[in-house]
Amino acid sequence: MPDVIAAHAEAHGHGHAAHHPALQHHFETLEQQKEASTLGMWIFIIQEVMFFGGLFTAYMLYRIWYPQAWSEGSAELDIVLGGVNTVVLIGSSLTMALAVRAAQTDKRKATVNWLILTMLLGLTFLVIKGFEYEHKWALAHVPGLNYHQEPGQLPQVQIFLSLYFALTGLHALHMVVGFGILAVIAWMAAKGRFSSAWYTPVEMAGLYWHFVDIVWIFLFPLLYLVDRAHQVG
Amino acid sequence: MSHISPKSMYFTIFGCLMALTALTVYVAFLHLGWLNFPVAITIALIKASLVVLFFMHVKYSSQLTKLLVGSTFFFLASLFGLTMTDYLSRAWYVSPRGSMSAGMLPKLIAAEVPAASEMALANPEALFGATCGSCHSNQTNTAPRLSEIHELYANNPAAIIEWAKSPKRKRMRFEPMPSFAHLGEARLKALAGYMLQQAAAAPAQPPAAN
Repeated sequence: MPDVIAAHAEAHGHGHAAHHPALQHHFETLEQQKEASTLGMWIFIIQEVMFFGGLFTAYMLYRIWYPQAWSEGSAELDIVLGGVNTVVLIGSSLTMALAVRAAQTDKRKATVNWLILTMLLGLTFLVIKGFEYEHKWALAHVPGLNYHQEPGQLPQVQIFLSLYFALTGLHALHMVVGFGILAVIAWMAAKGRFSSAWYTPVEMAGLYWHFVDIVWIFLFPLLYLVDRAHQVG
Repeated sequence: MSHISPKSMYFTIFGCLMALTALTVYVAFLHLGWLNFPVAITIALIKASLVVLFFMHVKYSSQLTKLLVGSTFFFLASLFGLTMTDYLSRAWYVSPRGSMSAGMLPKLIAAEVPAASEMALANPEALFGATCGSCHSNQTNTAPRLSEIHELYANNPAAIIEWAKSPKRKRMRFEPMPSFAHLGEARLKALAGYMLQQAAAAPAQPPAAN
């Protein structure tokens, strides 16, 4: 570490005291820098919450107007696949939290391994989601692109399915972005960029990944579990 | 430098999240009437809180971070609250059970007034008052009036039944009519007959402006 610090000070070409290479000049300490990063990340997450919040509002309005269509639309979704994906995604949140903990405790190899496991679980989620989408396409239940209204089904089931694709599609997009972020963080971790003194990027990537998990925690009951008691009679 | 939680804590939280996931699936299959939805949301909120507090380390973060995270609820409540006060109050009316909004009617009737189904066939007037009558009368401007319905369907009560089961939207300024399919064929038939009979008996009204 002293070598790194000396090399860094030399590269600067200006004579202030040696400091940790990750410390940016407008911050006093790494602690202060981490606090600023955390606040910035949370502000980003709050606007993400509001972004999904708009879609949830549309969901609420149409659910109140067309409860029967919501019941019929939700019955089409597979609780087993949705449930397995919930377990997979919450599992990936656990491995993400353990990756951050490994970085906090200077365990470089464990950090990389937990991050890779998180990515694999994320990939599993996306593959299962892909099978669900494929099934919907085969049934021609994709509003706007390939839709056939089942006899006896309310036309408003299309609104439910549109919101299903909008919400799960945007969620899946966030997962793809998260996968890319984790790939970069895992590469940085493998290169030894993080230590117990400086692991903020791992923690920030974790905040993003957990946020995506939370969105799914709400999507699962709102999409898959509507009015199930009355469908089985 | 900052709080390091023991591994066991992460596994415990994961266990709680799994148990709550199983619980939300189990509860979804119980007959709780209108409570099913709030119960599902409450479980999801508890799960989200566990993730935020422990996986996202907010429990061990600065006061400023906590305040910021807490503000999310304020912003979301504004979004949902202000939107819903508009949509849920567009068709206020006063029923014998107090005031409520038209959008909530089908669920509330199904959940709270099971007796309506028995009184219905014998007394279509009371059923009409508790269902269609709140929006469709010759006095209101919340939906097409009985006189207009009579003009359209005088010889075709089956079309009224069809519409009530699977309503479409006639005019943008009216709130969309909710489906009344849950009332069942016999009650819808009694209602359609009653509506046409009432409209025929009443003197012609000027149609509601478009």
